[in-house]
Amino acid sequence: MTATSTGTAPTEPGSAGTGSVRNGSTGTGLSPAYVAGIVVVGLTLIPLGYIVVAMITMGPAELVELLWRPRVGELMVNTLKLLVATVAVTTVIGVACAVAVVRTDLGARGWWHAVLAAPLAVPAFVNSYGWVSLTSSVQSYSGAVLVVSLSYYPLVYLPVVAVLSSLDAAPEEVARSLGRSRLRAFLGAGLPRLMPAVLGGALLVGLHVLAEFGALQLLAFPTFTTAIYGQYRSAFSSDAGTVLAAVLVALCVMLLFIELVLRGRRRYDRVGSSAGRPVEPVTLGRWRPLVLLALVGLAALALGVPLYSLGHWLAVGSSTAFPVGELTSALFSTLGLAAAGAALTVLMSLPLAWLAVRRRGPASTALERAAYLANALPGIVVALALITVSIRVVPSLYQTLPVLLLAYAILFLPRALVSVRSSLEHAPPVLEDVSRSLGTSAWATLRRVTLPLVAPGIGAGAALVFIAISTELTATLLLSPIGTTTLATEFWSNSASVRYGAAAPYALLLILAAVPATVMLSVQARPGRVRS
Amino acid sequence: MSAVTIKGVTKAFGDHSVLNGVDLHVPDGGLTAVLGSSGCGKTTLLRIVAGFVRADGGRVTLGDRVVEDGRTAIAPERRGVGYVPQEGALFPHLDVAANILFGLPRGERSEHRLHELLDLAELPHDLAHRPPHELSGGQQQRVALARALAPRPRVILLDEPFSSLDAGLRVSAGRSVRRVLKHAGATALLVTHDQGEALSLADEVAVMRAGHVVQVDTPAGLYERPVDAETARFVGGASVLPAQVLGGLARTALGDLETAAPDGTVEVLLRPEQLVLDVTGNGTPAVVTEVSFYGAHVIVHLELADGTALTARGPSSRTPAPGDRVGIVVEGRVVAFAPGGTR
Repeated sequence: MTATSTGTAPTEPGSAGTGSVRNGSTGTGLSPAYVAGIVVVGLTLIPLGYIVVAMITMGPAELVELLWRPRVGELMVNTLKLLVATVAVTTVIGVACAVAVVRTDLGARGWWHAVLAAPLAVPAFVNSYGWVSLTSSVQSYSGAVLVVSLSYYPLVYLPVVAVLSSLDAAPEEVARSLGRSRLRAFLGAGLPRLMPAVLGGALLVGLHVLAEFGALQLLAFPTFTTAIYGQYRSAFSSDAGTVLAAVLVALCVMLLFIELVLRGRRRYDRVGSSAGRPVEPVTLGRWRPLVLLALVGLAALALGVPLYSLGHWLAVGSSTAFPVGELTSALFSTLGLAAAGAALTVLMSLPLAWLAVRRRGPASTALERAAYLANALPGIVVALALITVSIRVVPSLYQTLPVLLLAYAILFLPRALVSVRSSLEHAPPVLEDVSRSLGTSAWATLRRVTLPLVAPGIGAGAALVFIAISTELTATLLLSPIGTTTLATEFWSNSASVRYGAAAPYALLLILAAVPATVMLSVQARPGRVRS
Repeated sequence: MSAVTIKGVTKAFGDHSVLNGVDLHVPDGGLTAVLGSSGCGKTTLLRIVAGFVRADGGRVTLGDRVVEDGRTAIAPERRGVGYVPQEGALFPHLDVAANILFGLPRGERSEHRLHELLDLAELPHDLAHRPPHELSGGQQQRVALARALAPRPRVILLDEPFSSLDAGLRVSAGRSVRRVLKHAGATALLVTHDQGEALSLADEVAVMRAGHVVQVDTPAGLYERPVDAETARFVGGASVLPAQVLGGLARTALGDLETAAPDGTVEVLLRPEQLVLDVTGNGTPAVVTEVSFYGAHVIVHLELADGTALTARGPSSRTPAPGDRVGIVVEGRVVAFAPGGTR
C-alpha cells in the first residue's frame, strides 16, 4: 500500500495551531473560545454590574433614605407573601398531580399529562386577562395567588413527573420489605430522590413570580416589579427605581442561595448503571371519583377559565371590527424580533457551550454559572439596566433594535445553552480525531462531522428562544424601538386600557405561539416508561 | 504500508511525566501490541503516533518519513494513519457506506471500492445503508476498521478496540480483525491492557510500564522469557521464589529445579501450570488454602510449611478442597532472575 499524502520533511510549521492537536497544556493561553466566552458573559453581566455600581456610587445616606420608606416595606410584604404562597401552592399542586399521573391507576395517562402541562401555553398575563375580564374579584391578594399559581404549577409538575417516572422501584421495594407501609416507603425512599426536581421547580416558580409584571399589573397587586415599572413610567430612570431593582435582585439571589443550601451536596442518583424498573401503580379504588374531581377542577380553573374568557371576547370583539392590518404587522414584527433574537442568543451560547463541554475546568464552569446567574434577573431589571447603560455609554443605541435583542439574549441565553451544550456532548472529540486521521482538514471536519451532529441541538435551542421571545412582554414594552409593536405589546396596550375585545385576537396568537414549546417540554417529561 | 519507528519519545503533562524515552519498532506488515496497565502511557504513545498529541522529545518515523521530531510535527490528516478508537466511534449521522468512504476523495467514493472494503472487513453488503446504532458491537468494530483502511494508510492504530465488547465476542472479533489486517497487509499498532488479547493476536508484544517499553518479544518468547518478575506476573501470572543456583540446579523451597541460569542468588519464576498437585505423597508438602473453579480448569492457592504462597492451575477433574494436604511437583525448566533485577 502507498501513503495518500506525499512524503515531505517535517519542516512545515505543523499542526500546533490548528486546534485539534491537544497537548495537555492548552488552556493556559487565552484561546479565541475563552475570549468569546468572556465577552458573552461580560454582556450578560451588564444588568447586575449596573445595579452594583449604582448602589456603590449612590452612597449610604441616600441609599438608606430611599430604602427605608413605608412604600418599600409595603412592597416587600406584598412580594414576600405572594412569593411564599405561590411557591407553596404550586409545589403542592405540582407534586400531587405528578404522583396522581405516574403512581396511580388513574388511566389515560398521556391525556392527563397533556392537560396538566397545557397551562404553560397560556402566558401568565393572558391568563390573568382571562380572569380579570370575567370578574374583578380576583384583583386581590388571594386572587393573585390563585391566578399566578394556576399559571406556574406546571413548572413544578413537569420536572417532578420526569423524575418520578424514571425513578427505580428498588429502593422503595426494599423499604417495603423492611416493614414500611407504602406511604412511609415513598416518603422515606422515594421523595428524597424527588427533592432536586421539586426544589428546582419551586425555584423556577419563585423567580417567575419575582419577575412577573403583566399578570400582577392586571390583577392590581403591587410588587417590586410592577412598582419599578411605575417608577420608570413616572420618572424614567431614577435612583428610586434603581433601589427597588436592587432589592428585587437581592430577593432573586436569596432564592438561588436557599435552593443551593436546601439541595446540599448529597447525591440522589442511582448507584449502578442499569435503568431500573418503575414502581407498581397504586390502586385508587373508592378514591377515584375524588381524585378525578380534583383534576377536572384544576383543569377547569387553569385552562377552562382563560379559554372560555378568550372565546367570549373573541366573539364580542369580532362583532365590532377585526383589525387585520394591525394584527399582521404586529405578527410580522414579532416573528422578525424572535428570529433575530434567537439567532443572537444561539450565537452567544456557542462559545460557552464549547468551553463547558470541551474545555472542562474551573474557568469554564465559572463562565457558565455566570450566564445562568444573569438569567435569574427579572426582565424589568434587565430592561432598566440596559436603558440606563445605553443612555450613559452609547446614547445612539438607546431604544434601538440591538439593545432589545441583547436584552432577549441575556434573558434567554440559558435556554439555548442547555440545548447546544447537550448536543455538543453527542459529538465527542474522538470523532474529530478519526476524521483528521482519515485525511480531513480541521475546517472540513467541522463541516462534515461536528456541525451535522450539533445542528439538531442548535435548532432546538433556537426554537425555544424564538418562542420565549414571541411571548415576552416586560422587556419588549420598555425597550422596543418607537413604532415597533409586537403581539405582546399590542395585547398589553389594549387590555391595560380595558379594551378586552380588541385584546382577544392578540391573546389567541400569543397562546398559539407558546403551544410548540409547551408540547416540546411536556413530551420531554412524558411519563412514557410507565405502562398503565 | 510502512514500518513504524519510535525513538526516545518523551511526553509530560504538566509536571507529570507519562513517556520517559520510548523506543519501539513495528516492522512493515507486522502487528505489534502495546501491553500495559492503565496509566502506563500506552494510549498517549498511540496518540503521538497518530498526531493528536505532540511529543516533547524524540522522533516518530512512518516508513521513511519523519512525522514528529519533538519540534515540528505533521498534522494528523497528512500522516496517512488509520485510527480505530475504543468502541469504533462511527460517525452517528452517517450510514455504514458513508462512514467507510469518509476518508476517500469524492471521486474515489465508488460502489466498487465500498464493496471491496465490505468484503475485506467480512461485512455483508446489505449492511451498507444501515445507521451505525443498528449494528452489533463486533460489526461496528469492523466498519471502523474498514473506514480506517479505506484511504490505504501507512499504518493502522487500534486503541483498546475490543474493550467495549463482551467476553465471548471479544475473542471472535479479535480473530477477525487480525485476519482483516493480515489480508490487507497492514502494519498495525494495537494498544491493550488485556494480556490474553495481546498474546493471542499480535506478532510481537511490547510491554509498557511507567512510561518505558520494558520488553519487546514474540508472544511465546514473552511468556517463556519475561525480562523481570513484574513482567512475568503481569503476563500469565506467576509465583516467584528465592533460590540458589549451582551447576544448572536452582535450590528452592520446592526442591532442586532445572534452570539455564548461571550460579548465584536468584529468584525463580513458576507458572501456575508448572505446579502439578500430587495426592500420592510425592513432592513438596503444601496445604490448599483456596480453590477457584473455572469449569475446564481450577486455580488452587497453596501454602508451604514456611508460609510461602503459591498458585497452581490444574484440570478440574482433580479438584482438591481447602485444607487438603497435597504434594507439589514442578514440571519443566524454570526461568530465573537476579533478585529485583533482570534475567
